[in-house]
Amino acid sequence: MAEKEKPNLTLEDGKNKYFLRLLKHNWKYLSGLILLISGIIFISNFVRKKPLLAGGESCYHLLHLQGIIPAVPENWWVAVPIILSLAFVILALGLAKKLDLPRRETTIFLAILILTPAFILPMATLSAYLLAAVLSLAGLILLSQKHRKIKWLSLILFLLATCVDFFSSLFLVAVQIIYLSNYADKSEKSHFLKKWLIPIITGLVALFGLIFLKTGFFIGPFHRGQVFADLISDLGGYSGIGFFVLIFALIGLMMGWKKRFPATIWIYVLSLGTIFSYFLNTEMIFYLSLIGAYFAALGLIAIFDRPWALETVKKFTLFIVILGIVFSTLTYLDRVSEYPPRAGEPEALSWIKANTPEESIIFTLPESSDYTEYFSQRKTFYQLRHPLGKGREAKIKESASEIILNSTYMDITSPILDQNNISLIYLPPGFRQTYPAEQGLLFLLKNEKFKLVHSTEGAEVWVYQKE
Amino acid sequence: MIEKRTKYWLLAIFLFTLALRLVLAFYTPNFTYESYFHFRQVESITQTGLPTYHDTLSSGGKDFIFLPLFYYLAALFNLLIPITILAKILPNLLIASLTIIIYLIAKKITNDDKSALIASFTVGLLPVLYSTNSFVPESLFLPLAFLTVYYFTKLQEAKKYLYYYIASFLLLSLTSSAAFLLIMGFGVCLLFYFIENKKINRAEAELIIFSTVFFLWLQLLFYKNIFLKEGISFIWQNIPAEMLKEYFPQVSVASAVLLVSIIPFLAGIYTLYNHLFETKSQKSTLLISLAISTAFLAWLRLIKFEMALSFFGIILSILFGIFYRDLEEFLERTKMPSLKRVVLPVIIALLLLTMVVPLMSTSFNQKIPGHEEILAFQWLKENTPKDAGVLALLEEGHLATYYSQRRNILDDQFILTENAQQRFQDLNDLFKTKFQTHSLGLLEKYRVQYLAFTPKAKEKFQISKFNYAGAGCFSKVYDNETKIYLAKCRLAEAALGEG
Repeated sequence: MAEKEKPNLTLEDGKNKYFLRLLKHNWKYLSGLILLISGIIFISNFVRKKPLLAGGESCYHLLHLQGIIPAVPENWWVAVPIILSLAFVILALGLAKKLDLPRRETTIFLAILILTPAFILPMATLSAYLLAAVLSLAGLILLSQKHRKIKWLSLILFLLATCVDFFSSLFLVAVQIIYLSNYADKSEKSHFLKKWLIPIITGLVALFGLIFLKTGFFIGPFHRGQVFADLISDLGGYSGIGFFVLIFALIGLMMGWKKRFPATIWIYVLSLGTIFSYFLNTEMIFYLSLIGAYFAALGLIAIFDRPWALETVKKFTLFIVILGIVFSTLTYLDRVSEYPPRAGEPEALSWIKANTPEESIIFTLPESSDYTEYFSQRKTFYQLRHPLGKGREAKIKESASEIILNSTYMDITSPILDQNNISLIYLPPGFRQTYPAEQGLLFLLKNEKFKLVHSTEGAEVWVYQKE
Repeated sequence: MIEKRTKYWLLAIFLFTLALRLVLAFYTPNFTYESYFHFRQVESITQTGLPTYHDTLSSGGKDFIFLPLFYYLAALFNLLIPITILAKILPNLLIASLTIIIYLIAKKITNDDKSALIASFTVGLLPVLYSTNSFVPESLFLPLAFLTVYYFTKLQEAKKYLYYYIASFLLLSLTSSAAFLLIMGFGVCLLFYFIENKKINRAEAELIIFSTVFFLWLQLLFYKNIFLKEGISFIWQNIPAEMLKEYFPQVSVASAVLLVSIIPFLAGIYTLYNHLFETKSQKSTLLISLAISTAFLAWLRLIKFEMALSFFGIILSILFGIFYRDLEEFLERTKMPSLKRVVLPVIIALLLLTMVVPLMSTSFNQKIPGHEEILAFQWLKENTPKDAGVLALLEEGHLATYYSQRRNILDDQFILTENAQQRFQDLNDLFKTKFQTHSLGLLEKYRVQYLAFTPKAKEKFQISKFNYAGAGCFSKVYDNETKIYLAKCRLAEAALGEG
């Protein structure tokens, strides 16, 4: 009978039996954590009578999925982020085991990642980046198999992952290069080109998709990005990384360079590339959080692994760090349940669906456009899209949208509404608190051409009558 | 152990500083404008056990978030001493205690009693610390900060200093977010060690990590809502743009030198340069790091000018003590060692000459309301409805809430104030506008019925009265140096009247 495999644990770990148990059954505890966090968010949305899946991205994907699989009820899609998150953890642990990576480091990395807001949000929404990450992990596991045909099966998963956007594909190619350079079986003799064929094909297909299939440089954005706020979740950003994780990630960056782990240079290059892409589109925080969690794990282990001169201070400091990370997570969980669409919005938008012609065009805030389109089944005038993917028409619509929101003169606003056949204005809850009442669109709504036709829990539907 | 003679001299410096501060504090009537906010918090704790975290009177009703230690400490004494006496004694006692703390730090670094006493004497006369009528948490923060620094320098001597350090840092973190200055100083110190390839003491490095982590966590705990609401601009505390210049002014070297006094400034800068680049003394590295980090943060306008200058000035006092020791050692090596006897009296004379006048000037030029103004605000409490609103200058906002116990439009607690920028503009408009309809519209917007026109308002806006306060809609209900008007009209009535 084969010997039961001993976990790859260090001597230090053996001192704490709880930590040892956590490492031994890490997949159970990490999965439990995912289910707990997702459960809190979904239950909170349910209690507040909001759609279970939050965020514009969920509605964006649901709109497209409805066209493909119309029969699936909306609430059933809740299973998708849960399954993807669990799959991510299981696959990551499987890959770590395959590559013989230390179990302790992997567990700490995954625990930090699961508690990071940038990973929590995809756990509660339909996230293309999470799907791409799962496909990439699955592909890497197949790539790490000895059998050549199974290795080539990984290409299917990689090519599916390239369908998200171009920058995700670049991230994937970089990860493939890191794997092949440092972890691929070096005893296996293969031609240079054959070894690198998979990342080459992946890259070419991604480029093909960008140029001919218009996959776009980035998916979204689905909210108005703020570079600094979106980076640190404690500063009120849409998602992001907590203060403590960021600090230990910075420490890990310095420590990692000193220790020179395998693939260090490549990981630093990948980090630079990801940071650059984050500045272009803050939705890339998902990938930045993967790197952040990795370095934070390194930093934490570097600081707390060594014996301290003041052991009591060490325990207390570690306790506060864990408290701090958990505190950031809880603060974020409190906020994420307030993300749009808010209670009352589906009802207001469904009213539009039931009471307006199919060809109606709605003007609303660009960041509200995706879920407005989904619930109302009507086209919106303008959606947030990344500048790199914007054509001339989109740029014209963007400036027209700004004019409609801010102009105080009907002579300026009216022609834009007429030319674009906009017949409906949708104001989401909170619009009146954000925009000034005596100027811009709110001021113009007093004009007789606009009529309030429906209002519920702060959401307002206005009809615009052409002359 | 401190020698008996040195103890007497130290006690003398402490008592002299305390006496001088108390004389100036009692000589100057009343308190600085911002002190009245802190009075309310202390009185609230004395009465209810809790500070006023939600205030219906300030800026239209808002929440306050602050670290509570100073208020609880004051409330403890308030049980025995009336607030008006306590507010003059406690802050001055705390600042005077800096003389002892600075002596201890300087003694640790220089190992020389005389140099340490010089440092103590200098900090006792530091002009920037002579806001003697200011009842603010900074009066507890400064001595606690340097006490923490002192215990940090003593870590290697005995384990008890570790616990003292942790305790004082904990108290410091519960007093003011400016504890960040210490964290930055520690960071710069580690950087110096790293650059110079010096071995970092492990216990010190671990305590720095602990301090950073603990401070961050405490700030997150208390200020979570502010971080979420303001984002990165929490640094500027929601202060209206026009007022930022006042809180974070461009650093004027001339005024800075005057407030920290020219001799400690020059000597401190020289010592800083000498120890950093020439002798590379490890003992003074932490102090130098604190000085550099404070100057850097002030230059970046990330901390208030007054706080930066106070901190910097105290560090310069210690560096001045080091300078004195270096000077004595230098003279010892020259052919005229007898000059040493002359140096001390000359230095004391120079310090007195260059510091006494500026410190008196600082004390006499504090922004304090006049007695007559206070009477006017007290009159409002007795003669107006409880839900009335009062128009007062921004700096007088706390007088309205403390003495009058009436709503104000805006005061200097900007954090979590809704539309602070708009309120600030409207407040200024209410003093400057000539149009009655405009003023009535704003008064209605903020539900203000009483308008206080103080001599300070007269001076600030260069006006002799409210230009719109005509007899029809406004009646003068209090007439003294300060005038108080009652707005009788509503906007529609005023428009009809004008028509």
